[in-house]
Amino acid sequence: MTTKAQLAEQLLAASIHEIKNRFGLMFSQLDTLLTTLPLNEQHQHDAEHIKSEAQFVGSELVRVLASYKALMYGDTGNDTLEHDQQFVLDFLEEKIARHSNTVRAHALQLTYECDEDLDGFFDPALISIILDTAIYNAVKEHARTLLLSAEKRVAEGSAETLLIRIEDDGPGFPQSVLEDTGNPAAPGHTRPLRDDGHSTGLGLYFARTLIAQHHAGGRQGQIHLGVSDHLGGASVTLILPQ
Amino acid sequence: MALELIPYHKKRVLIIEDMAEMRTSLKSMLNNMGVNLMETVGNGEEAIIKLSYNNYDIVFSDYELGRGKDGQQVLEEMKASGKMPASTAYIMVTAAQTVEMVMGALEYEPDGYIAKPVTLDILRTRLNRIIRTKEVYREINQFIDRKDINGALEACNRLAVERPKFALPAYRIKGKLLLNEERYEEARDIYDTVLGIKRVAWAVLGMGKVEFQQGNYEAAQKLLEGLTRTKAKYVEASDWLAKALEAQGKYKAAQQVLEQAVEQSPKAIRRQQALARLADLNGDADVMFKASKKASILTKNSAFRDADNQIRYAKALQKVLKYGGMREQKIASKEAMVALESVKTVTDLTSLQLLKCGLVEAQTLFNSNREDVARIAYSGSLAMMGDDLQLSPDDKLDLLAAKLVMEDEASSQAYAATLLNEIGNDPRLLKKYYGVLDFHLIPDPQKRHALLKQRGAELLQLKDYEGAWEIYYKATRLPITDSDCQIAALQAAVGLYREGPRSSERLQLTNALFGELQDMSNNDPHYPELEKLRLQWTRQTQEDDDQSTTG
Repeated sequence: MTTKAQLAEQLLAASIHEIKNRFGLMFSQLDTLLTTLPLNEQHQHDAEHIKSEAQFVGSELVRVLASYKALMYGDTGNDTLEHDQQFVLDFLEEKIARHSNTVRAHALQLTYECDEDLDGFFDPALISIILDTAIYNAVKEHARTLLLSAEKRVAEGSAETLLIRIEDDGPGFPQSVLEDTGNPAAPGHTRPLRDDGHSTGLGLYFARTLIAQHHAGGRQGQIHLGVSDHLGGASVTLILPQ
Repeated sequence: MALELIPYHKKRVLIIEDMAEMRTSLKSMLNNMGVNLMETVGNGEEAIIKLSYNNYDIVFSDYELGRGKDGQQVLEEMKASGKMPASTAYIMVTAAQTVEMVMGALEYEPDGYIAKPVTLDILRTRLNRIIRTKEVYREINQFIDRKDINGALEACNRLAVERPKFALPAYRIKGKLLLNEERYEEARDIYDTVLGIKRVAWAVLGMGKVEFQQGNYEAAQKLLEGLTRTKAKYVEASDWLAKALEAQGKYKAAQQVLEQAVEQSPKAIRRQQALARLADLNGDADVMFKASKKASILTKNSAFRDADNQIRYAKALQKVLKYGGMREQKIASKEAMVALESVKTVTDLTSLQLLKCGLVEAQTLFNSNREDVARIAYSGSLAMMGDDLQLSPDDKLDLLAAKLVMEDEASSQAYAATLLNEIGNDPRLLKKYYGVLDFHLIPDPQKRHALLKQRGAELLQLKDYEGAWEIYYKATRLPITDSDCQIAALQAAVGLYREGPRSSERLQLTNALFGELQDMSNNDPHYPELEKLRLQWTRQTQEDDDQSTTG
């Protein structure tokens, strides 16, 4: 049955790729068009909303494809290579630039804190998808201030871990979610859909499946959910063994 | 963070983009950032001219550029020609975002890439970063542009010490420079050091190249195979894996590796040329046709146009020329002559290339019903051959193909017999030899059937089930085939299924072949053998079905 699954994946990938390209083109044409129009403040704001939503659809398509692959093939474990070096500051800076429409549309404050010399080993596309999920979740929960930060920790036995964190000033996670996912040793514990149909669970479920693809030194990537010390809302920490 | 402002007003920029709207949009964004000196071109060909005669600080190139060369080809050619200074920042604009999709676009290592949709915020962030990073490597690039490799190596060392964050990228550049300089032991040291810290893909690739260059083909194969299987798919690893396999005489495996690689990145010229060459060695006419044609199209007006590939393309066209429909023949004849004419314009052809070009030209003319001119071309090339030209068995097989067309049966058969003797037991050359004869016998089904049966029996005797299946199956497709042949094909199929490799296509063909024989009378002398094979086949395939459902 492998061939059928491969065919399905190719079909999905090609189709998503195509939709995303067309969408990108529409997006940039819209952008050009908007700059030529005399818009009042309200219309300008509405335009930003449309752009932000358009960008969401683009990210969502990328996420669907990545999640589909992760679910179909899971973690094959035979990827013996390690990820290439990334400069974390550059990575966060770009993440924020990619969300400039989201920021304008929802009047957000999206900032970052990161040491200029911090580097890490991870797949930027994968981590980017997970951060997008967290950012869109925060926006959905009406957060206004978001902070991206990163640091490296050296545990006992000198195993390094890169932490990338996103915090917000929204209402935070319901206690049930925090308890449900509190145990990092049991990542499969999260159900894809919560009984009340709350969508947060779905995004996090896939984020967990995705981050499990990160490997280093026999350890797997994880996500930790908590309460933000700085902003009082949700805190999502990506734990990336180095 | 106090970062120095980048003086964009002093930067000279080239934009390579086929879509007018995108060109305008990129121009206005760059203008917004302070860039004044901008030039634009709409296709890859113009870009190469511009880049060959001007120096730019920044080049933006769309990956997709409509019908002509794409952004990757432009970069491939510029890197190979050495006409673009190392200090130029080449930025690829891609539609793709995931690692796998982007890999194709990044094969020739641009300084950075920007995924669409490009907005002003993204452009500013990404460009600032690329320019600042380029600035970090400025000293190294200056040495490289001055061809002072030792200076560049020392600059790499300094960078690694002064800015530890850039230590790995500095080692990466060092490794590459050392490989280019054929200083393999030093390169090995670098990759060893890096792999001791992190098993990053580029260091594995580098070590694979070192192993290959030092003649450790098996070690190279092992490293590179691991790399081609990973998610990130380093396409370049396929080229070196193919080389390592070929060096060990594994020609077929080498061809398969490149076939997969061209699927991933079909516009890489030298890879298509290498694939055509391997397919030629393997006597695989169809793959040789496709790859040499693609390379021929891709190298139109390009510095990569290669005489051997053009000759190969004309050679691959002979099938259509000889056996295609009238219209196809006409087109193929023209194509072949154009390809051969382009070879003749090359000034430094070797005697061997001249000979091969002449032989293919003679066949092309002969197969285009211009026998008289063909004979002149043929005798001309034989005269050119002289006594001192050493021909390999592969070259002699090309000569045999020409002799079969141009000479009488007795003399070409005599040459074939001597050549067969020389080939001995080399399986690759034997396959190719029978391929040449088989091709020539297409108009004579009786003789062709006899030849295939004879060769099939030899292979079955040797338990080369894969070879035997290929030959016998071909024989069963001839209208004059017989039960002997069909049964032998099934014997080969059953043997091959037992030993692997298995393919679903062959499974279907075998089932269909059993189906063709289902009406065989039980009085037929072949009947007991057919039943025995059917039983074996059913048992084998059923076991696998059971395993796949339970496993």
